[in-house]
Amino acid sequence: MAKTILAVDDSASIRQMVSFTLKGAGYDVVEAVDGEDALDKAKNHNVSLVLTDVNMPRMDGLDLVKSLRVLPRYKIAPILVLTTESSEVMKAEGRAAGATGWLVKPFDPKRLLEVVKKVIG
Amino acid sequence: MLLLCAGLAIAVAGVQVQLIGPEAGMTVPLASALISIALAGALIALGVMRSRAKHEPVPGAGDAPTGHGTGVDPASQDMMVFCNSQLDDYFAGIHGELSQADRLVGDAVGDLVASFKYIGKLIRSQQEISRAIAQAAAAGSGSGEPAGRLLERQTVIAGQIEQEVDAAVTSLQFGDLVAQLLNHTMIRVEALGTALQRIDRQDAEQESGELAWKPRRIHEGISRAVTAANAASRGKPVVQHGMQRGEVELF
Repeated sequence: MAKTILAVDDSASIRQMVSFTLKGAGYDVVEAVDGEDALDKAKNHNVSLVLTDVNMPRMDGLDLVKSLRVLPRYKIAPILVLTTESSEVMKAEGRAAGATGWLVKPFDPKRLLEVVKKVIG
Repeated sequence: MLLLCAGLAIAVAGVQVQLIGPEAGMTVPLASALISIALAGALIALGVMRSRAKHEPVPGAGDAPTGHGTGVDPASQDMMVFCNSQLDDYFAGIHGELSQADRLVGDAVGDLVASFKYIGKLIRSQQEISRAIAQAAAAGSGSGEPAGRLLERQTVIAGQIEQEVDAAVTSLQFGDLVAQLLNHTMIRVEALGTALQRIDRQDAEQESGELAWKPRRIHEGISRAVTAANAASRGKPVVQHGMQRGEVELF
């Protein structure tokens, strides 16, 4: 059975690019438009990996990571951050929040798949 | 002030139209054209603001004690220099962000055009190989290029097409980067406008009935507005100047 990845981004074009890439490699993709939507969907789907943006309305990516880490199901699940932000300060915040890795946009599909395979197989 | 407002309105309207564009699946040339309109509007606004800030006649200047032979006291002149320098920095920041957005769009469009041209060329090669395979099969073995070699070439071309599609996916992310950048620029422009309006209102209330329109107070007001606008717009979310793939770090 294909593993499910939750792709969280307020940009529809990025969600489309992420879905296109991951579905092409055989993964199921659930999309969410912001942190709150993602939190909702994470509770209702068996998600193997969360791939989230940082700057989003309502709930940002770092708050989403913190909120997911509180849930038993997502205590150790891989959560990757995919963002335009690349400062060391932001990365440190992501790490402290519980993120598994940090990917800077624009992403390269091949590299994204390598990382995804590395964290969920 | 009317010119200033018109310029800002063009800029903000242009930016808002652009922000809707790429997310709604708009074609690249159209989105690019809208971005150009937005940038042009914003640059007009900035030019007008800079010009007015520097050359605004200063009624009441003659009321102040004279200094440096200009009719303006040294403290007022220092304030004016400081204010102009603050405005220069502020607008240079906005100009830099708009130029960055322009570069990102140009880079992405250039890459996409190159990718699509190359993909077209590869597809034509694929079709030629398919025809050659069909001809070889019809003519029987021994004539022309061996079928095994043709199939090998076809596999190589398929891999090249995949690489180009990946490159196009990377370039197509420009919409998100530019939207974030322009959103930040819009916040900066609006923040300055709001701060200037607030200070203008406060001054009008304080001066009710007075004719004195002191240049030092105007420059102090603008300076406060720039400081407030800087505080209102948080750090720039996009540092990328091109569409090269970003780095990856696993913790």
